[in-house]
Amino acid sequence: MNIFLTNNWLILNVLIPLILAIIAILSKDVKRARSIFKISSIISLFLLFFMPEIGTSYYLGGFEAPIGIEYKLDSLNAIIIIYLHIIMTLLSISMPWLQLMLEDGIKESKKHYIYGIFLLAQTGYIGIASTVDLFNLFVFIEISSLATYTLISLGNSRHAIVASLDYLIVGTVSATFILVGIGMFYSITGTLNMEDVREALKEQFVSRILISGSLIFCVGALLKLAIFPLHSWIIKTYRHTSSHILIYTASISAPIGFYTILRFIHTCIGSDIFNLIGMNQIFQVMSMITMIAGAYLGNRVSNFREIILYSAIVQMGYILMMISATDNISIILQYILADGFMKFIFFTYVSHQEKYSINISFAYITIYGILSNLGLPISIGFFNKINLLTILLDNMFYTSFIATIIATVMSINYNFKMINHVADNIGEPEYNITSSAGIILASLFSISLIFYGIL
Amino acid sequence: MIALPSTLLKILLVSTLITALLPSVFYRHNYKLSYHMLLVPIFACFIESLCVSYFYIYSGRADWVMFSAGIVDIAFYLEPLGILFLNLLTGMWFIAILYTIHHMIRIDAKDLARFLTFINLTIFAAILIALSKNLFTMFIGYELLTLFTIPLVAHHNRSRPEVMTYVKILFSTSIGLFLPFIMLVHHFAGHTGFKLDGILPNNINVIYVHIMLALAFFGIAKTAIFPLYSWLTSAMIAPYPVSALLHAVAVVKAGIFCIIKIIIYIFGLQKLSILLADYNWPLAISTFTLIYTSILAVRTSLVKHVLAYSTIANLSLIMMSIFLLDPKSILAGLAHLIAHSFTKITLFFSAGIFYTLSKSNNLGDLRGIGYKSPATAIFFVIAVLSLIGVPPLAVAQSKDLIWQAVSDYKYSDILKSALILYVMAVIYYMGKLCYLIFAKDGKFTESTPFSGMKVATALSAIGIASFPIFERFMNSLLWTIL
Repeated sequence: MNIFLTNNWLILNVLIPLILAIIAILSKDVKRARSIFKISSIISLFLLFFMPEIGTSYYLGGFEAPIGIEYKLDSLNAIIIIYLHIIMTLLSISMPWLQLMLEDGIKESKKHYIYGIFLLAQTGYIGIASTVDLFNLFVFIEISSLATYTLISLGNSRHAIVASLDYLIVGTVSATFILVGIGMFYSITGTLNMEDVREALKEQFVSRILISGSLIFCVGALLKLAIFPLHSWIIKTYRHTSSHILIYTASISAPIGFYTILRFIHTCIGSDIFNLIGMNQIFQVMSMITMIAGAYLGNRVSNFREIILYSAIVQMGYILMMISATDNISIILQYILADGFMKFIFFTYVSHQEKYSINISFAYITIYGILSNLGLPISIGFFNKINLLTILLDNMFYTSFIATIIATVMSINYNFKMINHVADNIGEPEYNITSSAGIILASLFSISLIFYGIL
Repeated sequence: MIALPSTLLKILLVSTLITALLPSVFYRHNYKLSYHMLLVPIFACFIESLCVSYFYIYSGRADWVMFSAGIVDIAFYLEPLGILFLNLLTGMWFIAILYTIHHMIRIDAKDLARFLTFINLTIFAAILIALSKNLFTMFIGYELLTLFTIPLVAHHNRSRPEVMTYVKILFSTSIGLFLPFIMLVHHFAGHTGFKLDGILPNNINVIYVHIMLALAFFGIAKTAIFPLYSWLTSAMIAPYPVSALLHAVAVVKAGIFCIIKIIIYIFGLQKLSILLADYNWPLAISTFTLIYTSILAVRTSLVKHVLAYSTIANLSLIMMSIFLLDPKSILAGLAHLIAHSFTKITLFFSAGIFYTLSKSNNLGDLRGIGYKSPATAIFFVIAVLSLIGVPPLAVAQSKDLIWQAVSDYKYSDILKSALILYVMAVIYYMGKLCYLIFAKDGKFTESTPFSGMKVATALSAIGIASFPIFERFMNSLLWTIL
């Protein structure tokens, strides 16, 4: 049994949510669907005990790499898969209060679909994290996107449908870019397996197809992430999405987006070719513009949710800067995941304060998240910021160093606006303890990331 | 025997943290007694810090690397400057908490438990600075110090614009200038640990050293140097105990200690004095601040602002003395730091007692208040005399040391005239306060009752009188590094 689970761990991670999603949709009963959702997170946590060693490959259907599809567990995606499971578990812990809001305004006969769609999105995201096949990556991006469009349209307001349509258009465009990029790589290497692509590229000169392929792939991925010039859709879309949906989508989509870029750089083309064709300089300029423009725009808005969105854009700028400046994956992942946990905390807070006043421990955890967002001691964000600044100084990127400092100083203002907002909403608690359990765990997990960065 | 102090160090840090968090246990139980129980562990912390200094003097070094993540080491150790600051803090802590409890109950403030917790946490953060072993630990303590004071400053009214001024100035300087300074030190030296005679390598371009000095000088805005002093006057919207303990002692003095530690342990005193031999711009800015804020103090009409500007002037006097960059002048600066702490805390304490009676911050509303609370007025006058520099009170002795240090400097005429101008301003604005307190046409009918506030004020006034003890303690500690 153990051996079976360990050998098939990679595919089971994808299959279990998929099968449970179908069961949940067929169950036609909201209570059953809820328990299936919880069971899924319990099973995936249970599966973590059988995690195989780093470097294990799984070939779908037993077909070897060039023909078949390869799933691989390496140092890049192991922590991402664990993170996805953790977020799902935190969601099911939050379910007692979350389900009230999720099912609000949906017909009784259709309530069970929500849980099925959540599981389907989870399938897509875990699939993106597991595979090392370029086309398979695209398929999973589509699966997760389709599920996310549905989730976003579930919001209470009429605008949610429009927001979902906006997201659909942007998602389609970015997926098309990614597909075109993949096609270009296939045309010069003749394989879709990322490691084979890298081997094939080593024997070639740098061609224009390689450069344009990488550019187009990265534009697709960056559009989906909403890096500065391409950011306006995220503001439009997330403004009208219900915040309880955003707890999941916001905390997952950015880490997965950056994971896609990291996977592309480190496994598909290799970081030396990435630097050789000057992509790192493009990334660096983009990230500088993103962080400063995001901080500037963030100071101009006063709505809490919009401030979070702009601060998310600033954080993306920092992460992109880190990706362009270093090969040290564990430091980058530490930053990305800490940012994901912060998004979880913020949107839990947002969806809470729409209905209730919050209690004091909830407020302190949210303030911890905001301080981490700003990079003040002694939160995880402080260690991340120190890592980023060290990398920039060691590589003599003085302009980027100054830009990072300026962006941080500019973001003090809106971060303290957020803290003021939290302090205004403190009141007598009207709910039970489980509602703050999710964010307490999220903050603990984010702190424990310090130890991941050391390794 | 060697291992003992580092165990003591751990015990000290942990017990201060636990003590700091104790008031939140008393949450919702508004009994006076339970608040007074807090004084016991605080006094124990004071005794502990005395023990630590005793063991340091007789048995040597102690250090503790608590945690290490990447390039950030959170490490503590004992060194003379830190011990001096530690004892100052823990001693003042006891007096201040005694005062705070009575003051806050008397003005019917809400959320006393939270207020006390944050005051304690602020002291804890300042202790982190005092015991820090490297710049990162110091930075963490520095930022925590700012963070923990924000709820205190905003205690009465969170939406005042002064709160945002306070936050913006302190954080933008610490993130925008102090943090880059630390990163540059790490970049050039490879580490940020404190070492006597400095850690910067000798082959750095002089321009870079000047830039780094400027980053540190303006980045540590807690010293309230010229363009960056307005946070201190903004912070005066806080209740009196906060102004007394934090904005006269803990926070601003933490800034000065950061500067001294950086001069001695990062740049190196000798190297810096050679570097600044021709163009001593920090000295010029400090002297300018001294004159400028003395004039501002004369012009203002709020009690707290008079005291705040006087604090800024005294801080720049200390900075001026430090940036003469001579062991004697640094000792003089430290002596003035201690003397000023006791003097200013007494002034704030008695002004706070006056406030409980007059409920006003305006100078004019203090008329004749001295006749209704004579004991407080006497403490106030003692502190005023000390601030002016009447021997044998505390500031007189430290000013004498500064005067001697200044006399050796090549541009001593300018500095001496600045000092004389400063003393004249002090005589004017403090004399005005004393005149108002004893004016004949007061309208007050009731008098202040006896309370812990007066005990605390008396204790700090005793501190002013017994300054020579502190000075001897300081000299016995600091001869190893200066």
